[in-house]
Amino acid sequence: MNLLKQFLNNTHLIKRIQYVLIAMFILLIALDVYLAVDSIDDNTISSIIKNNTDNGFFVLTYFWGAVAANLFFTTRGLKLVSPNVGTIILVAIALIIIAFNIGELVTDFMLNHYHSIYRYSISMVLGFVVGLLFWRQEGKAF
Amino acid sequence: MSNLYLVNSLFMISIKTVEHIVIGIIGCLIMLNIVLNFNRTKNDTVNVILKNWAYNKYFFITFFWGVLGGHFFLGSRMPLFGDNWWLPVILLVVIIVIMIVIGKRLKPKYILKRRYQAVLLITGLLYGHFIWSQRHLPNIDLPWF
Repeated sequence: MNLLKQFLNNTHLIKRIQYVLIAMFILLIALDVYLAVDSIDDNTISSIIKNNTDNGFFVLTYFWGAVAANLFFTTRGLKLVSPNVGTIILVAIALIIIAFNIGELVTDFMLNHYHSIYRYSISMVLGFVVGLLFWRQEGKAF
Repeated sequence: MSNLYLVNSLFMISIKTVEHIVIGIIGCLIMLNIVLNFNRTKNDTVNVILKNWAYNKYFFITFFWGVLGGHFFLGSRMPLFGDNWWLPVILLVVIIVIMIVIGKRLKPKYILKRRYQAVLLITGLLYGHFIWSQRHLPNIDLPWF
């Protein structure tokens, strides 16, 4: 336990996490290239995410927007809520989307519409707005 | 081709397995982030690291996030390159390599403006939507390919 604490509070951890992230992305890309050329159809990561979004994981698109707001649009002004409260709000809205099956509602509503191909933009924008309001990081990158 | 087939039969990765891999990675990232958030070192969560990268030398992350969004969730009925699914991928790799090369030349203290981030994100979205679409009609035959 002590060792674990020491490890987690190590200031060099940031460097190591960066390497972990880079390695993970490279491995994922390599895996996806393999999946694209292998003999099973539709098992690339792209298809998996697409299918799961279609099968009601509407919440994925919501998180895409929220993460975009969090990572790329920092603020220097006052934040509405503290980061932890913001995270709780974010997750709570996600749970509402899941619990009330809003994804299916929207899909049914848009099913025969010519622009149904764009239906996910609704939740992407929703996530983005929620991220901008409640889940932003401080400005000044370094 | 027979060689490739042999490799495939040795490493069959089914759709279910890939799903587990994706869910596992997302779960691990969330766990890691929670631990990092509550440990003593400040500003070491994945979010902060990615933000620092995106605002400095690895600004391709913003563009790539937009591309992924457009690719996964939005799609046009008529992607620009038709059935040549590999062409957008190669083009994307070239664009990202160029962005990394440019990013490496930025000064370490340089911080991108927020409006550039917006431009990058929107261009990425448009790329994923019009060029690297996966929601198009099953069989498309474009006159120029």
